[in-house]
Amino acid sequence: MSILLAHFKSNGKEEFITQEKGGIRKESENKGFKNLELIENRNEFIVDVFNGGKIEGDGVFDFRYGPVSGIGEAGVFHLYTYGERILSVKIDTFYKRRKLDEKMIGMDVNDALKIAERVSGNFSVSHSLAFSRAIEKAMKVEVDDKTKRVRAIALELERIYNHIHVISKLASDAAQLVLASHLSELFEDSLCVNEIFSGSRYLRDFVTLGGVTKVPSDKALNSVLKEIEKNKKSFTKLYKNSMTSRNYIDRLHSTAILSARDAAMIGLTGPSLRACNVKEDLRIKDDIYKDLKIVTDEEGDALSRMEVRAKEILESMEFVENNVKKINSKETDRMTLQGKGDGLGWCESPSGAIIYSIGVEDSKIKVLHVSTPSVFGMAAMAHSIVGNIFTDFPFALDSFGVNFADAAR
Amino acid sequence: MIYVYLSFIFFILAMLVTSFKRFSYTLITAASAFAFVAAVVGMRAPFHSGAYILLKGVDLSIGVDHTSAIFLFIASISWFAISLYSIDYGMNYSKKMPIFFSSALFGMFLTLTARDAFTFVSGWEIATIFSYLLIMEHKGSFKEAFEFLAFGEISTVSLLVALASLYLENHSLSIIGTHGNWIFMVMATMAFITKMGIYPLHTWLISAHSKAPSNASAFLSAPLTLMGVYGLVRMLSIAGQPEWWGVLAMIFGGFSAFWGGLQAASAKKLKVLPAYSTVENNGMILATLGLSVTAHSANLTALSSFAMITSLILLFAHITSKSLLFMSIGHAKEALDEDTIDNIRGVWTAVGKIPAISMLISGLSFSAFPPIIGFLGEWMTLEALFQSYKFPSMLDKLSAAFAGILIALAMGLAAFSMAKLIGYSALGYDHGKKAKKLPSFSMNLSELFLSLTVLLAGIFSPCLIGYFGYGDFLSGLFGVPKPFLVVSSHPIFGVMSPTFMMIVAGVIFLFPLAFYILKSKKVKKVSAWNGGIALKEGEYFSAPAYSFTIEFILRKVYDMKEIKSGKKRYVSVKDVTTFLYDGLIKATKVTSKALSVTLMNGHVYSYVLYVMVMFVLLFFIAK
Repeated sequence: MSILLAHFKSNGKEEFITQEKGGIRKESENKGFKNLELIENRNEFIVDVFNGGKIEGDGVFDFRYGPVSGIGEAGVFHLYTYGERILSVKIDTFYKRRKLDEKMIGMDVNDALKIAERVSGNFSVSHSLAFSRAIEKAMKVEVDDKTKRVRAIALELERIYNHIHVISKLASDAAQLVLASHLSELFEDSLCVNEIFSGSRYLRDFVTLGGVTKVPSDKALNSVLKEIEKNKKSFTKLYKNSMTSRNYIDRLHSTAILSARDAAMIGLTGPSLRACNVKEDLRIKDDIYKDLKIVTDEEGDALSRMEVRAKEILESMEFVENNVKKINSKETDRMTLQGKGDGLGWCESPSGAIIYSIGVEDSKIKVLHVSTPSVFGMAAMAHSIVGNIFTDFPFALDSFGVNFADAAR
Repeated sequence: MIYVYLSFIFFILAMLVTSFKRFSYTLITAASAFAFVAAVVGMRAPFHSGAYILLKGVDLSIGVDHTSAIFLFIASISWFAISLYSIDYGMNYSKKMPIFFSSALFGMFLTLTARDAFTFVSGWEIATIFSYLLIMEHKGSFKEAFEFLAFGEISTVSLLVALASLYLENHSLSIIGTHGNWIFMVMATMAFITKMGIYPLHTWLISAHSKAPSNASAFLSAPLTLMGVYGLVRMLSIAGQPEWWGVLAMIFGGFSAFWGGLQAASAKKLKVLPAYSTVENNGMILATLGLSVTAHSANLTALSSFAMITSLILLFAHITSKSLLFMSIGHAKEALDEDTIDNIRGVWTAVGKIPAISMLISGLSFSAFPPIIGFLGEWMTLEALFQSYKFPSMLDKLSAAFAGILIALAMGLAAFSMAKLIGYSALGYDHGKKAKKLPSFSMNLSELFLSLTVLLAGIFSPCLIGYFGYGDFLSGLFGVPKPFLVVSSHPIFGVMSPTFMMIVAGVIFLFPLAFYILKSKKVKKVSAWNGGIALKEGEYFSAPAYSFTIEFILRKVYDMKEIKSGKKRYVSVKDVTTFLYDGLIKATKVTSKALSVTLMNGHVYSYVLYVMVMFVLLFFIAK
């Protein structure tokens, strides 16, 4: 199943970036992609690709949620309703639109990397990695295996804390305050692991063009190993206990159901797509991930999305444990990248595919297009929430693990 | 009698000068005032005209006794207010309207003062026919007016059968001092509960109200349904007070109250909500009448009397508050040219403070907000129902408990629906629609008069109870001087003093509030906002959305459907009782078609056969 993630014109020709069977490729033909309009309008608003946004009718009104209320970011959810029932959702990304992708054009590639890293704070590694890979491809640079492994560990550490945060929010939404508190503690522990590994709680300034800032010391790697082992035990116990709580499970079960077909047509990737029983992951073609078990689930609801994320935490922890043992603290060679060319870089972020398509000339960005998973996650949420009621909204939203910063850029 | 005659004369004069609309309505207002004086005089000393013998056994007579005085007292307040209101409101309608209005009031006055069946039924029919014509005054209301007429005639035919039975029993058409049998009781009940709009005979009331001009809606909903209650009270004085009637009245009344409350909670149209509220109020009145009759048959005289005065207080609250509600809604509806609750937001700023306050007071009365009169009526209803444990019969106890549960639910639903109505209309945010400038002096005056009546009648309700002749239920206790404490039984079961409640509330809340308002600095007003930015027109929580939860929970009862049509979405709810009538209409059409094909098909042989069959049938029946 070919999933359209980006669309732009390059040298007068239309290009369609799609994901299929764990790989990204450029196509020149429009295969009747349903989410084309969504991609084109994403800087203004995000709507359900099947039913559109605004709905009218007797008693229908726009229950506006945002831009400064409850959701933690500057964004607006227009929930069209005639009471409790959510009839349609229109998501306004305007308030968070910083035009970072436009600002990167003309910048030095190293400076642009800093901007890419800050598109969405919680996806620092994912954005910087996808950006770096695009630049490295454009300049035809191959990074060594150790760098790849260190970057992969950082990416998995990012996945771990993001997934824990999502599950913690879902627990909080369901008033499972004990679980939510324990998960918050685990979240904090995960950030501490990040700091030990990279020197930054949010893994910032770690990925550089052609390498990483600093390979962790042996002592740091041992600490990471020890902490991950402890966190794995804690999370396994918490997850097992949480799945015995009927109150918790009932709130997530059958909430915001999404079919595999619809998810793919919307452009959804990442754990939310895998929760629709689609074995699609950009890591599967990477040799470093050859032992990785791709987690899927069948229901396509908020519960499935939570379960996929929970199991991915354990998978990522195991990956970190196995790979930390394979690296040493010897610094890798630093590379200076120069030249010109076009490159397509991607990575499997905690919420799905991040893609950078970059054209470089004299170490400066000439062309840049970016595809972020939150755009499609929000559109998927807008589609799956239709017919649900207001109280389902936080479960639907949080289960997709999306954010406005990532969607609006 | 002079005031009765003066009232008649002014009603007739108003009919004659119908071309001068304002003058005609002024004469009707004067006629209503004389009717009020007649009621006050009759309350103190009953009077009558003496008999005019039309035929043997058919003595025509009018007068005012204690019972008719109470009803005339209540009705005339409403007539006065509605006719005063019509001086300005009536300018929006044709020159025929005053004659219809005056004739309908004349018919009601005749009914309330009638001492014989002939006069009673004449007044009844005059009121019905001219009410029909009043509804017809609104363009496109033929179907609704016809439905009203159909139910009105069902009521009249039932009444005629009841009165024929009364004549056969007594060889007299007098309704004073005669006795009726069970046929009289059943048929008269049928006639009167149809007028009251008791479930399932309420559908006419809803459709007629939503189409009729607002002064006519007020008239149909308040004084006209009062005639039904008056008829029942008169009927009970003629036919006695059997237990079975009381039990049935409690059950039907309780269910009707519940059904009215339930439908009001989902109503979206401006005049449909108060119309269902009428079904609810009249249901409560019927249930308390039933309780009174049941208590009487069980020799519980104190409870019987208390339930009867409860009925009268409920009636007073309903007539005055409902007239006020329809008038104020009509005022806003006419000024804003809208007919849904959602579209009439901001009456306070857009239309005026008086209609907004009127809506607020009447809505609070129906929500049983102390110390307004509706509060006392509902407190007394619950107090009366709580005393049903005194009934010796298990059937009576269960019936009262059943009615009590339904009425308690109805009260909750009524408060819910009134909060919606006044919350959106009187107190809702102004949606910026410019109101038409109407001549509204008499409308404002009338609304102010009824607002004060509803408020003061609540505060001084013990005086009202005493005035109606039920001073036994007034006492003094806990420092509250006699007669400002209402007691629900002897020995004391429950007590309430709206007067002192008002004094206490005044001391605790109102005076400090007034002081604060007077002394406080000017308040800076800003537009409502959400999420950091001002609310836009399409972002206000809509009135249908307010009702959605209850509609969804009770979706089977409401036959609720969520409709999806292209880009449009809406919720459809129905009063499922209409299915009963739809079925009847369908069955009638099918039968008519079958008859037209088989018997009335134009073939002479079929006619001959039909005539012969009918002849043979009649022969056997007559034999």
